[in-house]
Amino acid sequence: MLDKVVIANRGEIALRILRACHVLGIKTVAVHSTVDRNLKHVGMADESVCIGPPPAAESYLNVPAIIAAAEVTDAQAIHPGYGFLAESADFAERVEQSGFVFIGPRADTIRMMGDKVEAIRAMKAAGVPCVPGSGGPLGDDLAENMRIARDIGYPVIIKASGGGGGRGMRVVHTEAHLANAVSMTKSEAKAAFGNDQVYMEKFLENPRHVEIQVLADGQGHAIHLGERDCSMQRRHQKVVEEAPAPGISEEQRQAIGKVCVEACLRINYRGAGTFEFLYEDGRFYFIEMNTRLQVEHPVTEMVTGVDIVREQLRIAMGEHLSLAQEDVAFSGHAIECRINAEDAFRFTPSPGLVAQFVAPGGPGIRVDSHLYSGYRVPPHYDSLVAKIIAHGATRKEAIARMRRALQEATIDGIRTTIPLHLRMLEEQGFVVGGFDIHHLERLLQGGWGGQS
Amino acid sequence: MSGGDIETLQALMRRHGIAEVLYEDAKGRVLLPAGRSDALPSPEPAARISPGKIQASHAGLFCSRHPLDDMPAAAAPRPVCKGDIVAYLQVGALLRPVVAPQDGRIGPPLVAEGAVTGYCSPLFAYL
Repeated sequence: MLDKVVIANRGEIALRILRACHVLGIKTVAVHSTVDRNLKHVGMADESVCIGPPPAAESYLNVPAIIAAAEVTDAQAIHPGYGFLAESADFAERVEQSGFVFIGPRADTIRMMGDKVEAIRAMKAAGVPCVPGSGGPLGDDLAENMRIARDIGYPVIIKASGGGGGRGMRVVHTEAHLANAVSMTKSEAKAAFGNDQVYMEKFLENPRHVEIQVLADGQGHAIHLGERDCSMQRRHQKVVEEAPAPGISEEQRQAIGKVCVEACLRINYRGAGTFEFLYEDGRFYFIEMNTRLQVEHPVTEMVTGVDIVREQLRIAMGEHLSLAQEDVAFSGHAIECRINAEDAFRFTPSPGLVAQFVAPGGPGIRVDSHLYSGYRVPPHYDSLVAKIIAHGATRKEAIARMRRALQEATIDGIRTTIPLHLRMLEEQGFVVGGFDIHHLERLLQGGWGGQS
Repeated sequence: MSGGDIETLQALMRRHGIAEVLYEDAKGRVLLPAGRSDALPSPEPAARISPGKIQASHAGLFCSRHPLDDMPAAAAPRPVCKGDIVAYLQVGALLRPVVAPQDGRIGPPLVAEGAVTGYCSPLFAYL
């Protein structure tokens, strides 16, 4: 049993975790930077501890400060949320070595999945379909690298083993550019991730991003909660997510879900996780596993009724999963729009005072946001300020409800991406569904959207 | 008494607001001042010291004195010199000193003994 949990994050996800803890009767400790004293969850937490100045490196990434906060408040566990230290194997290890429960997978699992080459090896061994590739790190032998590329077939993509989030990768269309691309990616990977290991994969031209949500208790039980389509992206950052993915049949869902569940059992996975796939021509290709809660987890919660954060907490308490695969029922369609404090079409940050915030409501609408009237959005962190989630019996109904919710939302004082989302809901490709991951970038490059 | 002992004694004197110690035995007498003259109680210290606070540099449980120090905590107000240890922040077995950032006189602790303090929590006010 957990009595008290430190929430090592900020913003909407910290509030989400706090709410799940309070539902289970678990006390909460909010840790925050000096600029985040007025965050909504800090005021709602049972205790709060300021852990450092605004720069994340000195606060939300400050491992000793977070562990000290757990120590002085007599907390038993630390929930990392997403981002910051959520996928740091070293953090998870230090948390557990310090005698606390890390609410997430074991450190060695995080470490394995953080190394893309190792992750692909493990997934191949578990029978998860992967993108054709080098099957391991590339060496310095150009002739061998050329042979691998020819076997895979151009175009290929060179990726950093320690990369993620779209960083540390380079597409190569012809053999003439291969040597330079490998060399450049290695140098960048060394600088960005401290690890110059790179690998090669077939570059899929027009894939969709489809991911599978899993839950595993690390005690021999694992389930999947279906898929999400996160293909609406800008610069590899997701903008809109939905569940289920348009055009994916129940047979496909259960087949790929089963593979993911078996992989979880094989690696004795513990906690919530996401298998990310590229999906093209009816086939799934594993790209990476996120060993944490995802920003977009609410769409899965809306179509399954499963409280993923609550399950994370229960698993951390050593309990078995509260439901079996046959208990998971999918209902309707859910869409999430990420509302950022940014200019809607130029994407320049827009921190500042929120003069007025009125959340939308009504049937099928959920709003996960830490905003309130009078809150000042600081410039130091990610610009996500709200997630609006719409659920409907059909995708069409979910879109209609989302449109109404976006029109109803009031966020005065700062600019937000609500106008972008409103425009997107009218866009023909989105209305039809099933677009690829380059769809939004193509629209924007073509001048779509205009000025906000 | 070594030079180190004298420095330790002077630090304790400053911490507890003692200006001088007179030690006398059959062989003679020693008058030990607290040290820097501006650390001694002054009739008008506030006029020379800009007001401010001593803040926590880390999270921890507030301890007004070292756990192994069996003397009572220094009475307030008290003079402090820049660099003096005025309290501790405890995290498990770790004790982090709270150091006076400037010379002056400080009032009583602003937090209770054993209270959880966070980064930048005000611990003492300069008078």
